[in-house]
Amino acid sequence: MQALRNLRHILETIAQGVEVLPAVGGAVEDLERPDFEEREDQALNEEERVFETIVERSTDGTRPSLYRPTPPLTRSKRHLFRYFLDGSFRSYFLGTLLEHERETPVHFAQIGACVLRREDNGSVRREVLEIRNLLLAGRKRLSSELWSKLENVATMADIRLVDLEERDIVSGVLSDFDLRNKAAGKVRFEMHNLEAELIRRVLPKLGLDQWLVVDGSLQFQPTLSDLEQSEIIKPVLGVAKNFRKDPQFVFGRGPRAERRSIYKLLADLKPYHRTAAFGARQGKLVFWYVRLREQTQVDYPLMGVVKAELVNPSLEAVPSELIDLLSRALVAERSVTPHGQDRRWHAHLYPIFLAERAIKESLVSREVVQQFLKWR
Amino acid sequence: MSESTERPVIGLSSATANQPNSSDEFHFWLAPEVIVNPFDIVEAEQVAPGGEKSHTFGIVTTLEHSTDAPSHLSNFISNDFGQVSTEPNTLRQGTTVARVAVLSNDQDIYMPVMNDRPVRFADEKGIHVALGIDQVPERYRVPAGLIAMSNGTQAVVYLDSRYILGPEGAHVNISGISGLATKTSYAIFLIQSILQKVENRDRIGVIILNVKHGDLLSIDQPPPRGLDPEQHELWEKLGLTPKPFSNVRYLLPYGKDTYTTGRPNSFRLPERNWFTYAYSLQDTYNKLDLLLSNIPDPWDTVGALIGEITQGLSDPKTGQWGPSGKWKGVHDWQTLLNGEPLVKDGQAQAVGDVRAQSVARFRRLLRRIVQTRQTGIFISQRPKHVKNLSEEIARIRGGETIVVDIARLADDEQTLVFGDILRTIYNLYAEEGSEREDLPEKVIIFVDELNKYAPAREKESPILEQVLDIAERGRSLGVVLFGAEQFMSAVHERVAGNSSTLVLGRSGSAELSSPVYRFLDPAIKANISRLQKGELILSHATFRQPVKISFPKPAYLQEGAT
Repeated sequence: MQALRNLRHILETIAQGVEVLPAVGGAVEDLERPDFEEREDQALNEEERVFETIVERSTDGTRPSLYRPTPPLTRSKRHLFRYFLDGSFRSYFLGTLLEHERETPVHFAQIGACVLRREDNGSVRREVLEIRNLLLAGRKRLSSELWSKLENVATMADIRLVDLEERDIVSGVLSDFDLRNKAAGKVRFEMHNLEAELIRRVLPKLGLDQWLVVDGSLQFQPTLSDLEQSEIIKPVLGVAKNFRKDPQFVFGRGPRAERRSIYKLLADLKPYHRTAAFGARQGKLVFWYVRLREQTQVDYPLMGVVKAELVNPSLEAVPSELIDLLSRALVAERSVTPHGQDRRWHAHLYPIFLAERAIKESLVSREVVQQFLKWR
Repeated sequence: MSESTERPVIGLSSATANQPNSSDEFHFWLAPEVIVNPFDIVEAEQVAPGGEKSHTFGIVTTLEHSTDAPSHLSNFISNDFGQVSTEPNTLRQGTTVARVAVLSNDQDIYMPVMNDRPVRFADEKGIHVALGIDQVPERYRVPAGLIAMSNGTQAVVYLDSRYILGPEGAHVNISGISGLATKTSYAIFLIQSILQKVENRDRIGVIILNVKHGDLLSIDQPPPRGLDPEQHELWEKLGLTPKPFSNVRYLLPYGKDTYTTGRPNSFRLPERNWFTYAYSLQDTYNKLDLLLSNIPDPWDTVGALIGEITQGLSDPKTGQWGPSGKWKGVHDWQTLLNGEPLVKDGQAQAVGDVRAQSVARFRRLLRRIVQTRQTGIFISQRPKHVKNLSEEIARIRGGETIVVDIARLADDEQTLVFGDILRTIYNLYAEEGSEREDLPEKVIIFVDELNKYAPAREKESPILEQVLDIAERGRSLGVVLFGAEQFMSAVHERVAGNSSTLVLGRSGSAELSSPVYRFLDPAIKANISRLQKGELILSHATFRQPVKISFPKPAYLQEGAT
């Protein structure tokens, strides 16, 4: 609440120097675009569309098959996944600042990331939860005098001032020149940074049976480079509910090589099975798909499938047994589901959903923000 | 309340958009592993002036478990689409929420309990604050039972004697299904508690009607094998001594074979201090209205004839028995029924304004009650050793308990005896109470199956009038009615309504849906249908909510325990 009080003073400061076109009634919540995760995946791997390298090997030396059964490995048999990370945010459009011919939208956002730890009995508790406040505006759209004034008051109020125009890997996805559209990407970028910070914090606690499951891709920097630091695979698994639908997969070599679109690949993926693991980014990243649910139980064949990612610093083939183990543990996560509470329930892991809930519950409510953040 | 910090927090108060807290109730979610039951008394931290803390006490009424599953379908799907053996990896988020009815605040602050305030089990002192017992001076406290909470805390529940024996309120009504042997036991326990604890207890007289078997015909004898140690402990925890009644007089009805055997018409004989009573016409002529209470009399013809008879058999100068004039020949039941002035030459005669036809009906009714179907209690002349009940009752002294046995009497006879007792006591106090120093200050009258004498929806009858007189005016006179019945809905609402203390044993849900239970929270009603033997719900004038209590087994000899 203190952040909002401080922010109110900032708004007053801004309003003294420039003309303001306030959002009607105060702050308006920006709604996240659907499937942003998928678009992000696409943007981060724009140059790679065809995956043909199978980056796994079995200890018995047999050639990995395209599909492998991965029956559920529940917590009571082997409790592999102990930590679950998710990030979330809420962003508000506050209005547009007009300074002579220049104009910039102003947004307020709260970003958060949370790691939950799962105990032996299946209950979860909060390991770490971090919430941060952001004020976003286009730096070049304002006079440097006003910007530095803003920077000063924001620093004093413990709110980070973010330049909407600064290029980054995520907000670049939306190349729209309307800064207001870019804000969501910028906030996501900041949220990913916070997630990366939390992963770094949790890393020392991880071990062979103490894996961390991260919501979404591990391709984000600095997470990717953090996990590449040593030769061995860090016990961190990225699990994406939504992923790009344009890649092609080549299985086998020579004239008998089989080429499949992702639709074809996943349509033939049986429940509690995984695909072979493919390499991306020259083998640094290993990914595969796991079907958590029967196709008949969901609306569309591509539903009920998650994309799993592992950072592979050695660039050598990953043991199939490890991928099987992780996939089996993932299949066991299909129960409980957030059915009825999230449209992505079929691919959503319940502990991740809980981490997201924990963050959302810690954010200031919309009503409070809307009442506090009005231009006076 | 510094000790509150030592007691563990069992949950935090919770207020939501749909379930706000109010001055009357609050909610709290329970920490995992904590067990709470309905009727547990808890305390929540509350604000107080100057940033201090006060404590709001409340009684748990309902417990609900909810999860984040928006529908049962979600749970079905979560279990892998209906696989009953599925083992979920993560436990679904769920919590048990207790709804608490506010009892009191130790600083009289009735602000709604805020969100996220620590909640603890109340300790014994807290329970007393919650129920307002701390406001009752020691000398007025009557132990009424024990509250036992889920965490093992026990607290003695005290009633305020000013609300049982007057002057603030009076009377106790006990209801519940039969078979649990709880109603009578509790009434007798409460009487014992009063006789052991109330100041001026030797100025209290007790009249107990034994209506079933011989249970109450040996209340001055200890159980043959004594009490179990746990029961002993329970008595002592309540600050009472487990002992039988002392100074008891038993009045047993005269029966058909009493003349030959000398044995009264009772299921069992008390060991000592018992007397038989019977009704001759001389004892009954001015109580015929009570005897004929159950007879429909829409045109008051029976009433008019009873008036004529009472007047005719009274000495106009003294108002006492003294037939004169045309009533001169009437000296017992036989001469009343078959002689003048009611009958001449075998034909019923008109008496005063009452026509011969009505006199004939009266004779038929009275003959059936006092001759054909009687149990032997109506006799021609009382032998010397057989007592007049109302005279015996009128001789009651402080500290004395009189047990009147009516268990084997016919319904009309029971009504006469009960009515006779009530009328005698009422007249004793209403007319000459202040003048007689040897009268007890208070008289407690206990009767089971009160609904027989004061049924609901009864228009008017002499016995009902008598019961209502006691219920409504007994408080100021010092006459206190302890009534018991299976169904409170079957008793006249003015009787239960005038009782400052209501005690409820297990009752069925159909009974509990009756309007007389509207003072109870629906959740409490649900719990009443699940009460165990020895458990009761106690609603007292000074409590804001009913509480659940248990009480010890009787410390006197009960039938079947020989």
